[in-house]
Amino acid sequence: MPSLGRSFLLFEGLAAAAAILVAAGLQMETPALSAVLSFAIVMTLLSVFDVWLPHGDSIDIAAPLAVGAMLVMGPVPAMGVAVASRLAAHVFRYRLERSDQLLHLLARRVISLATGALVWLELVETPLGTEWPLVSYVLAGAVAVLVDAVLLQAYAASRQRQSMGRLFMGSLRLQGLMWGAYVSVSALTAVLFPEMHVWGLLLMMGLLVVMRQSFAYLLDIRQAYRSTMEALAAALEAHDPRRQGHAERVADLARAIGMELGMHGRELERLGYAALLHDVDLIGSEPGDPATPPSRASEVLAGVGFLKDVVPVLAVCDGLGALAAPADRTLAYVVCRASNVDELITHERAAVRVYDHGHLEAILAVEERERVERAVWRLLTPGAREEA
Amino acid sequence: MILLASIGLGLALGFLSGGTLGGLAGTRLRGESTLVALVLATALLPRLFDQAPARWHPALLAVWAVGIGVLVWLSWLNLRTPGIGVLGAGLTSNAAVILANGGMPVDLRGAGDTADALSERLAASAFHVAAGPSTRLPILGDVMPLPGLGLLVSVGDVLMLVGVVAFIVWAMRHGDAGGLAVEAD
Repeated sequence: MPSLGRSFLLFEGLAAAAAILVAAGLQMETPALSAVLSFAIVMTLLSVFDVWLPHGDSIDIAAPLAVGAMLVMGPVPAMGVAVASRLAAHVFRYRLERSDQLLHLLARRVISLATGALVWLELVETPLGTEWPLVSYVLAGAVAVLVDAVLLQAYAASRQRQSMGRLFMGSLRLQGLMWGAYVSVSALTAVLFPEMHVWGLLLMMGLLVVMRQSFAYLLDIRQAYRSTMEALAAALEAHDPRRQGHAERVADLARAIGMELGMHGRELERLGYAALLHDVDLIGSEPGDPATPPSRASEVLAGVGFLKDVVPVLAVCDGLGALAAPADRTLAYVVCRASNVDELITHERAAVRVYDHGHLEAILAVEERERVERAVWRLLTPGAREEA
Repeated sequence: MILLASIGLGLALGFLSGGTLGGLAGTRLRGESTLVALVLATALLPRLFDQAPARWHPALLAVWAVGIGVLVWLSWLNLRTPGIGVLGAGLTSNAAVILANGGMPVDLRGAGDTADALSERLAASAFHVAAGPSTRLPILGDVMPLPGLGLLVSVGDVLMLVGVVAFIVWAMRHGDAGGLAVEAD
């Protein structure tokens, strides 16, 4: 594990220890054993059931019930049932491996529940808490869910040495609605459980399973898009083996340049897709003759709905983007530049299209071009990043 | 509360000045993930003072001081980023007065009408102490009344608020367009 990951875990552990002690001080009355058991059984069932479903690593289906348990029973019993259910799921999924991941997961849950409980206790004495308890449930749930999400992205950033802000924004775009639903489910659990007991939890369980499957389908569709594009790129390489790996290398390099330029989320995704498909028009050309494709990449892909915001980038690469937006021009320049760099490295000039200097100059104004070139330099020159 | 208020104020001013969340997300700080965990830890630790027996207070204070020390060091590493230096100065100021007095000294003379309410809260808080003639660095304690809110804040609190707001506004306006504010850790 990188040293950054270790120092993050150390301080997260310290925060978790403080959170447990703070929560112990906040506990007001002992909850009924039946309530603790109901939450424990339903959450463990959900967590373990999740192990056998696809994308189980991306979704923590029992998280909103943990927040609901905190609102119903107080933070300490909620921490207990959350830790038990996560432990069960982890043992089923990984046996006793990935202990650092498990420690992070448990610490994250404990901290988020304690901060949510602190907010709830601050609100419960105010007019907001007494007149509109549901609002205080929602606010406390939102804080708990948000702290959980921030800690998850901080952990990922410390392990992958990536920008936490970009990871968080990417996660917000993909899972923002899920987080909203988590807050709703936790508040609803707090309202329903005192009236309906375990039946309320079973109702929530049904909702959570549907929500979880919908999100899994979304992830499947995104994966299918990516696979389709990789298949298209592979088809081109199969046609001319000298191009083998070019599209993927260009896509990797273009994404790295994009990240160096501060791109993230959908913009980075567009860049990756454009780079992967920038030579797709060569499928119809003679092997070894990249100069005479029968049609342009942007024309080949013009009718593909989910690539509608990638096509303008490819049009600029094709020399057709006279009226293109500045952002599309920057992405196109990065794609062309990454393709040229790959050609320089692999020396497959006969098989790979090379964008000449005049073409590159026509894409971007001098200032923006220099910004991209500086990013390419930082990326490709050993020690340049530290020097910069 | 100061931290939450400064984040909210920073975001509002950032949007009003034409900044974006993308800019904030695109800004990198050295040790940013450790920073998140530490901020949570140092925010939770003072709450333990009220619950723990008095004999544990020096140990808790030592742990808190180590956390603040690492936060100040992380601020030093990110000194070139606007706002972070001011934030670090605020942290140092608060840490100095708390360590010198075994808790944050509160001077109720500045509280005006809310002195009674604050006095009750002070009596219930083990992390705060009443300011008196023997208080060290009294100027750095909670001496400034916050108009309308009935709260007293310290010079360090004000510096932290200004630092966080300045950083957020700068990052929202320049973080994304300018690429990396500070190189990756």
